[in-house]
Amino acid sequence: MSVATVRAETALEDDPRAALLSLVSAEFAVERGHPLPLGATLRRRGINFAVVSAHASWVSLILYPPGSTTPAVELPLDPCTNRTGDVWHAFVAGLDPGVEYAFRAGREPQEQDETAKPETAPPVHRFDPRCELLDPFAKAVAGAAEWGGQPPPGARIRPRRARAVDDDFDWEFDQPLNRHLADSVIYELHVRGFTADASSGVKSPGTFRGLAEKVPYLAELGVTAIELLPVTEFEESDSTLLDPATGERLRNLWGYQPLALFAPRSAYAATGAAGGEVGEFKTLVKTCHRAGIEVILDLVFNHTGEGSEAGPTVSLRGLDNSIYYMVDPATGSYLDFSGCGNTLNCNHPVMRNLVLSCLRYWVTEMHVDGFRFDLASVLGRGRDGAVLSNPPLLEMIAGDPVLAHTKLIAEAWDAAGLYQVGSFPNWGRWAEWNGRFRDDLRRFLRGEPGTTGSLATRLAGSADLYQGGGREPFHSVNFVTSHDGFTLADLVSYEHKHNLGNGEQDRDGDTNNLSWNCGAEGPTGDPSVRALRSRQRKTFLLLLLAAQGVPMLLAGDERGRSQRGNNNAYCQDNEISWLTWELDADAAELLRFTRGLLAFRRRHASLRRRDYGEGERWVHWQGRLRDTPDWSPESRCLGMHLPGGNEADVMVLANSDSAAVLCELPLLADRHWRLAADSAQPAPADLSPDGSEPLLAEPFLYLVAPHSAVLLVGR
Amino acid sequence: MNIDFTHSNGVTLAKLRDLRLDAAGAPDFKARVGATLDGGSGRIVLDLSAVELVDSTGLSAILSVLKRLPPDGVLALAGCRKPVTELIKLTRLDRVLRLFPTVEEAEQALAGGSAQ
Repeated sequence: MSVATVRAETALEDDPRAALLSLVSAEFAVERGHPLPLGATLRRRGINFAVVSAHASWVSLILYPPGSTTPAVELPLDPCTNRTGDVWHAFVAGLDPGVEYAFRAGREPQEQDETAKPETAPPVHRFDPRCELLDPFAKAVAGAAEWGGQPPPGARIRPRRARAVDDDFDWEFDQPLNRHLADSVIYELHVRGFTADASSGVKSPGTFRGLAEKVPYLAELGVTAIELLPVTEFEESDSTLLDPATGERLRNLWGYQPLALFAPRSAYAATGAAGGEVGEFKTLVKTCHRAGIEVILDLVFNHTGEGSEAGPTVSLRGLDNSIYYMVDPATGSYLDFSGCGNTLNCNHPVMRNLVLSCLRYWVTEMHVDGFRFDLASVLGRGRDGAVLSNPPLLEMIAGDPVLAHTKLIAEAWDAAGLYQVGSFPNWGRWAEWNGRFRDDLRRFLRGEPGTTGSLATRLAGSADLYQGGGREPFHSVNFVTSHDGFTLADLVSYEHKHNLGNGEQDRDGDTNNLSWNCGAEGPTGDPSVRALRSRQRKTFLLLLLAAQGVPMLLAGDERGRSQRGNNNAYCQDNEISWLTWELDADAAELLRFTRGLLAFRRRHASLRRRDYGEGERWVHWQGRLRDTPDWSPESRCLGMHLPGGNEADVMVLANSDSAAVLCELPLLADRHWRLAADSAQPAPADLSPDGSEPLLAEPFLYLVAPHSAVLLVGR
Repeated sequence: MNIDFTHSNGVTLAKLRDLRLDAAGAPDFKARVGATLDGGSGRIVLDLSAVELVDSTGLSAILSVLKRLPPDGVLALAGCRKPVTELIKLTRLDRVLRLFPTVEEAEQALAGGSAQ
């Protein structure tokens, strides 16, 4: 914020009349307005405001001059004229875009349910006339554009105001790319963590603009979509936990505590202080699309940053608690299926409308290509929390015409034990984060006995989970690491989580990591351990990128990013969770290997099947011996042959044993096996560039090294 | 909208004779009170002693007049009844508009040229 801006604001705060007059024109008038669309809608003469509250007996609209925390005027809405059904609305003529606004809502005691005795009635309503409330449909939010700024004394979060914004943006011919999900490779990243480190070299570190500067890197890497950890408005400074090393407050940087679902986090924009976050986000999307990269948003519809009953009243709680949240009617307290203190009432019609409107907004106005739904199983629960067999919200999303080509990816579980991987209500539309893929690959690669069969199932597209019900292999989003848990480098370097830095005595984070440290815990100088870790990382990447389904990479895994054993880095707003852009020899080798695998996947459609091929034998399994699968508990070797037909044959070999295995290769007529990748070979022999894959020394034999995987191409 | 206008000592007194200043009367109010600004002194006292109810539309009409005042102009409200005073406080316009218990006090304040 410039000095001039600060002065101007101060002047307005000191002069209420000037503040008010700066806001309104001579045409200023408050009219009845329209109940739809909800939120603030710019019209020719002014702005229409609309908000839902069924249980408020009064609602007022508060207007602020842009950038000011002091209201200029508060307009009580007339319960007769400014209300249609449960929608409160007003049209304010003579207001310009940029005006900031909030609502205030209350419920008069005499209008309480007469049958309820005040002293015993559970507090299902939580109106608080002291609170200035954020519009749930706010497209932009002012008040916390400074990353890491502190809430005022006594407050948990910084007060926010909605900003009425202009949609104008020169999209040219941009639109969602509509790449087939089967041809996608997703790259999960955190907007701030991706470029916050000085080594990123970008002009605006940690912002949408900074990320846009790195699009060429992503294109060169070969991913087809970025999946952004939540970018909707949240408060990173709401943590009470302290960093035990520095004593400083930790920051809740991941963003899974949304305050406004339509608004990009203003602090993620280099231009956020000036209200430019919407345009900057659009520029990011446009830049990605030009490079052929889609943008998928991780959206949180299961809970909000208002937290438990003790949390701050920011928006929904104060507007109509019992509609927007799941409330136990007997106690008035929240049902908590999110592990975050509250649960959004996703199958209430009002909330369903909010979710659907939000998704449509991000697609139509922001050109987003897809969504990953955090704890999506919550969206399949009824108003009382019961698991529904045909959840209306999930069906609406699956069948919505506007979203018909939008990627829908469920995190198919919730924090209350509901685990729906493979059984998420899907209407043939919903893809899922395949948690079983992660677990089965980890089990196999740490050498657990009896895991060869499950590895085969995962490599072949998890038909056990997704075949039937209209789903295909690409409804499985395969991953071995995500923001939740170890990074790939840590997965092969740590047996246990090391989360002391999170300020909870290492109690937080998952203990069931299925990891293997390769012989030493954490950093080591032992060359044999280091070499094995390097190989394990490549083995994971090779199997992930050769599997049927949609691979998802965690940002930085392609260059060995470590979080020093922290498997829950949600509060590490520092070099632990940030990506470092310095490239040492080790990282450069891994990056080259990953790029090569991605290029291989692009070239070979047989790795990107669009169906399970009913009746067609498109995969041949084997162990050490040709044509002879070994599903015994002792087996640690698997071969997967994908006959190419008109295209090249592809062969994957995996060995999780500590001894090398001499494998027979399928006999080919008129074709020869060539080495595309071998995780055990020293660079540059680990990866052969396109077209230069060398012939094998023995045409139908290959020695698969301990703890390695091999990719062969037959042509 | 029934409004009586009188002028004295460079101050325009507008007495509203209707019980309500709401959507029905606001456009007329805006037009007629606004017209007195053309060539007038820009010092206006609104006598609201007869008005029992002002709604958001009425308020916005008052603000619209405020917006059209010349830089040295003043808009004073006189004789507001309790519900109207409460509304003005609720909407925070007490920080913007000058309120006087009686017309005499308002005229006196404005006539002296002490427009703040």
